[in-house]
Amino acid sequence: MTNPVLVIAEKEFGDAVRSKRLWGMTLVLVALFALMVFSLSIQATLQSDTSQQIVILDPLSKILVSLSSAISFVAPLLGLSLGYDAISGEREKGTMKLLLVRPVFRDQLINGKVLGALVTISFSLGLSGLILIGFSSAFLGATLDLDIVLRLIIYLLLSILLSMSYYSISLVFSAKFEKSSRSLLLSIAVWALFTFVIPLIAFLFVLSVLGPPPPPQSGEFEEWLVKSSEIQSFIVFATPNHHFSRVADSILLARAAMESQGLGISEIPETIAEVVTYNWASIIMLILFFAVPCLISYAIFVSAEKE
Amino acid sequence: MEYVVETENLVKIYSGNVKALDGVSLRVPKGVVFGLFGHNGAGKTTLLSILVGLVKPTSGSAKVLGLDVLKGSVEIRRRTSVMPEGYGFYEDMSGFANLVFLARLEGFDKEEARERAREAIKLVGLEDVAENKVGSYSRGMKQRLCLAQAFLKDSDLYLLDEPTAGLDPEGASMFKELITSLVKQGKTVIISTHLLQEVGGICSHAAIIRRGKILSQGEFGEIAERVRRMKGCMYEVSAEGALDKFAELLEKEDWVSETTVIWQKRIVKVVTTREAGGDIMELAEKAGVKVLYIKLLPSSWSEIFQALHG
Repeated sequence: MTNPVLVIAEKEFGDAVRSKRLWGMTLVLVALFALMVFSLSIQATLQSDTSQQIVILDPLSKILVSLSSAISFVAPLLGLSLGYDAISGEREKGTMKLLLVRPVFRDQLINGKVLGALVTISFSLGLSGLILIGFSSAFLGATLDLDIVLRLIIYLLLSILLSMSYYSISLVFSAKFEKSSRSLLLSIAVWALFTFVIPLIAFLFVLSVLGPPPPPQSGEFEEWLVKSSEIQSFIVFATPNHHFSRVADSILLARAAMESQGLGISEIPETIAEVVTYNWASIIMLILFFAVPCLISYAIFVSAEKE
Repeated sequence: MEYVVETENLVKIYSGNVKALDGVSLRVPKGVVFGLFGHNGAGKTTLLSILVGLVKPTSGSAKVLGLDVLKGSVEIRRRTSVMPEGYGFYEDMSGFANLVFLARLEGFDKEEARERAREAIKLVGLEDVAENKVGSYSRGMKQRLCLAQAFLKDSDLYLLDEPTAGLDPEGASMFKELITSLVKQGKTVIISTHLLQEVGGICSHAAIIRRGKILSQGEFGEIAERVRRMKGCMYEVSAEGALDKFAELLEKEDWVSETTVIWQKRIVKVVTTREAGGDIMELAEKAGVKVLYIKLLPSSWSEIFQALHG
């Protein structure tokens, strides 16, 4: 006997690997990485010319920190692109009827879809990551030690979690609506809300509450920055992107802190365990952003009466 | 008698207060080809969907193969093959690959699934296009493929919704052969359709459904007898000669309630208050017409359907 969850997941992954959608998104990530490696390579050449050694982070970490905001754009899109038609697409094609007349529980069908998406997203992000490591080694002379490998793995897991949280949000729409076009529109609307609208609202709110920032040279500037950061963090707490950036940046910047103990950076967590302990709330929020919509999708799909 | 399907007062009301089923009590005996006949929208598909646990009834109960549809739907689907209406395949995959995937969802391992898919493809005569993408299939080929997916496993019960829609005459003939062979193996087949001319001939039992209600159900002879009791006996007499004179003679008899000469004056339809085949033959002889055949109606599911739908 074969497990239907694995059969569905295997098909989902096979479909994704054959689709232009997945390769397009992976290509975007690889292009971003390539651009970053290229720009860092030029920067390194310039620094070596002027004998300035201001690079604290190792090349890989530096790229990932720089790319953190880009990844928080692209990884969600990868999730959305897989999720928006996961169920509504089957309905539209009529294939749902052939699936549901099999001896398969509805929750197994969703589990198979989610597992397939997880493998696909891991494949896409993992592949892009490997290419990035290749680029970094070839053009920036990056070397790997156990600590950076562990940090990269955690960074990858966080990216996967971010992507999966958007997958599960789009899965809700896909389970709820008959038409994939509607599901896609709403998924993109949520992505835009979390990625642009809420951070913009947070920034405008800061301006309206604290007023414009004082001149950078003044002593009030630092205080303004702290307060601004606190208020913005409070508002963007409702977005998965915020929690991803917070943990992902932290895990890589901690590496910098370790490498620069002599430079006075001492009050931020350094080891992986410390980073995880320090950011546990964000990690839990990221997990919730994945799990809660997933559960809602289950509820909608399992209780759906007529396919 | 052993029944594979038993429903009791099934009611299904969809949102918007659309009543799809209105107190359906159905009995399907084991080992027969059972027709579920009704116009589009009569409630046939809803009834089949309830039987395999895809739709929950608003009230009433249903058992399939002795299992309650609410509690044992997955086990019912394990032991049942379904050909749904309005289905679709993965168009970018070959017909064979589609079947392998569906066979694996039935619980077969990869190798067994491939073997099952090969057999099913052969059964419906799609070997030549098995490796082609389904997107390139004609409607009839897709219908054959859908039939094939219902034959991926050996089931106790086959539920086929509009199975002959889109099939060419060769396909329809192949379908009838398949169903006949299933019944010989003691399987039960339920065919839901409005195309009675095409499948009526292979059904020994049926239920006529209209606006969510079953008008009549049972074995052909029983229902035909019920229709006769309800509507009177109707004879169709095909004859040569002076049919007008024959009709005049018939109208004089007190057991004849209606006479109609139809089809270029070559057929007389006679409604009588009792069985009167012999009497009609005597009158035909008196009128000097040569009877080619005399048929007591209804003689087919189509005629029963028409009689019940008025």
